[in-house]
Amino acid sequence: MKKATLTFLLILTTIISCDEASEEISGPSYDRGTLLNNWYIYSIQPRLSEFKSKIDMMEVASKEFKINKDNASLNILREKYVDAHMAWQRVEMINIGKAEEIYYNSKMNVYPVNVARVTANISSGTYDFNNANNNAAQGFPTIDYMLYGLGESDEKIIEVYTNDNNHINYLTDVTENMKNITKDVVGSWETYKNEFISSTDNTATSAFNIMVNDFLFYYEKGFRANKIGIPGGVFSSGPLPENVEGYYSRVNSKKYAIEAYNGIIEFYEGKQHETGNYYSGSTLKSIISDLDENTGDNNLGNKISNKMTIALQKITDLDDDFVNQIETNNTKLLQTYDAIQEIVVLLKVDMLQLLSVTVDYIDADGD
Amino acid sequence: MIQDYLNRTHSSYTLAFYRVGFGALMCYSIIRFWLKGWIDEIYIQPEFHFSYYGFEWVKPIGELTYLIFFICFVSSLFVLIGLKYRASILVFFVSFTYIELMDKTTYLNHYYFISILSFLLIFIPANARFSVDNYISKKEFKKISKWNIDALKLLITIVYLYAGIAKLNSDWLLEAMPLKIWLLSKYDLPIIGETLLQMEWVHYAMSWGGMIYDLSIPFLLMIAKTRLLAFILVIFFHVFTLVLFPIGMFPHIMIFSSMIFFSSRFHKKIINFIEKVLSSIGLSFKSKKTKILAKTKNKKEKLTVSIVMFFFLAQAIIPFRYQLYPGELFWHEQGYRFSWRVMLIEKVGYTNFKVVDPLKGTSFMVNSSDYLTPFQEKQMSFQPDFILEFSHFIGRKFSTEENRVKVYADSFVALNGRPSQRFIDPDVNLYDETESFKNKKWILPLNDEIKGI
Repeated sequence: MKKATLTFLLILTTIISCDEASEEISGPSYDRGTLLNNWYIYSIQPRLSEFKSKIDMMEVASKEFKINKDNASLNILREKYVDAHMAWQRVEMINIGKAEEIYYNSKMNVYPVNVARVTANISSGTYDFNNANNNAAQGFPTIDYMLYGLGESDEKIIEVYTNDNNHINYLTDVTENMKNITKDVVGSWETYKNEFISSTDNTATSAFNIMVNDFLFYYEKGFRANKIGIPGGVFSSGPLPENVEGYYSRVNSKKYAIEAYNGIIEFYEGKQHETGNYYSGSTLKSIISDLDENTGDNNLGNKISNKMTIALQKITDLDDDFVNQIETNNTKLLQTYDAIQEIVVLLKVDMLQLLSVTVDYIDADGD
Repeated sequence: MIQDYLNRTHSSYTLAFYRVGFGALMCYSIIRFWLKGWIDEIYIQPEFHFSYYGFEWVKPIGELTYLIFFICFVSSLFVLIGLKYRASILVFFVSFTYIELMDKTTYLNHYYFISILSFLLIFIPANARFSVDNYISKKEFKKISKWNIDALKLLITIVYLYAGIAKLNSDWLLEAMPLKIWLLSKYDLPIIGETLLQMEWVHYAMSWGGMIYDLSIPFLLMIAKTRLLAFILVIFFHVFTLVLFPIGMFPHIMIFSSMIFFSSRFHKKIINFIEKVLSSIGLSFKSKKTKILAKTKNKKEKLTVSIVMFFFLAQAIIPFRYQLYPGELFWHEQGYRFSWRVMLIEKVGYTNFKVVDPLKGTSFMVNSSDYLTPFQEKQMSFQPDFILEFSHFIGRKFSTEENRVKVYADSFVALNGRPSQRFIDPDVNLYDETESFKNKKWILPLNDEIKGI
């Protein structure tokens, strides 16, 4: 046995010393450390802090509206809501750490809103936002409903709020809860960021893998399915216009989708959130481009970029109001879906194959 | 001449050694599987299970599935101590194989290896020595037929040899695929991850080395002079794969199995050592009345030998059945399993199903994750027989007696670093296609050729 161990060590050292002899490294520069750092500095941190300030402003405006239940305050609150919901479009994909732990996404943006649940909560006056049954009775969809859907005209909506205290209390409770959980999530990054940046392993629980998975999951479910596919009727026997994001405020659905898609492109290609300039060092795209031996338009990195540009154009060509788009020409929405879908294949098949990132969290044997 | 060979004998210590080791490894492997919570996760939780063609009736039986694992565990314990050996190994073979047949999502070559190895062991008197059976029957045998040992060696030789032959293809040898993809992604391993594993020559060296290893190791183990070197290589190779890949019990089983090539003196030493340890706590399989006999006797030797010969004939042929199917084996995977094709392909798939209602003229996409676990969904996405079986599940789910829906697959697959391409003909209603051994014409051909065997 001694002999065996000795020989084993001998072989191992021979191999390792071979390494010193040849300096040529032909593998790709798989610099995940820089990439995670870039993601934090240029995407995660600025996106979150911008969102936090927007959500704080929305919360303040809701308190103003509580004091002055008039047209002017309602309009300011609506404006702040749309601002915050716009900023949210770049935050939803960052479902890691605290956000994942407290089901942040599910509390912020599950739509369509469950109107029956909202109504029941308002009349009972007692509710627990941590109860999963209340996921569709809080967050942006609920605000959207309560600012635009409570009556046929602005006067009627204001009337609802002046008739009792329950409505305004629910509205401010929702905004306050959104503010508080956002504060928790943003605050957690102070301590979490170091762990995040250094978590470069290729395991199911490493930050790099979780972020890649989050990105894919958001692209496929949060963006493709929720914003376009489900309302367009891809997953049902007919279209479901009430599932459009911001259904009650109507005209914002395309705005949200474009904002979200730009957020996706910038995250993928590596653009700074604040300036829109490309950052240096590793990006998700640069890693893929390096791993793929093809060049030019056939290179996977470029292929994805080019198809994203096409998809973004298709989204831009849609009606401002997706409900209107569905009712007048749903085929156009479905064609947009197809353009978005082509990229899902490239991301989930070609990119994952190159990265060899574990997608599922099951720990099983292979051979 | 054949009779001469069949009459040749070998020390029964070798079989005792193999039985004890096999029993112990199986006990450990079932406990490991149980403790990881996989029984629940893989067999009890999923709503749907993928079956082998012809074995659709083999399904998990709810909470009672634990009982099957328990039976399997007890039988391997009985094999270990050699209690009612023949019955125990039969029960082990049946229960273990039943477990493997419950869901093909978890198919692994080494599970298949254990299944057929335990089948072979039914015909081999591994309780001839150092077993509780000796104590009960008061008989112990010094020798067993040499062919018993040779059969085990042959099975191991087949595994390595066929695994080596399967590597003789252009992806493995000329592109270093799929090792290149896997090794590049192991950057987080200490020392070698960022250095060695990122170098192209290492990918090629490991591909070629693996091929040469598989093709030569059984012969190096057979020859006494090279045996020690071979065993060191076996340990190195399997420990290396253990470090690199989530490969479970396979390295342990193969390292142990290769020890059967050692001389019986080695096996005797090990068994004597265990005997010593046991007797120090007052245990022994021998009583004063135990008669020591020369050699085991088998009244039905002819039948046994015929079964074993037929078994090996089947083992030799089965891996070549893929020749009956046109197209690229790695792509369509018809005739891929049960052939010792180990770690040959990296495949990623993305498959969704569209249900068309022919009466209303409407259609919708199905969310597969509503019915499948992430692991099942991953496996389903690139294997045609899974895709077909799942499309039938969907078809049944959404059809009514009057209205039979149509099911179409929107499927893309990438193989060994190639760009993704459409995998399944999107215009074929899979709900009307049936599973059989016939060629599946609705698999679109690979836009490339992989040369070799």
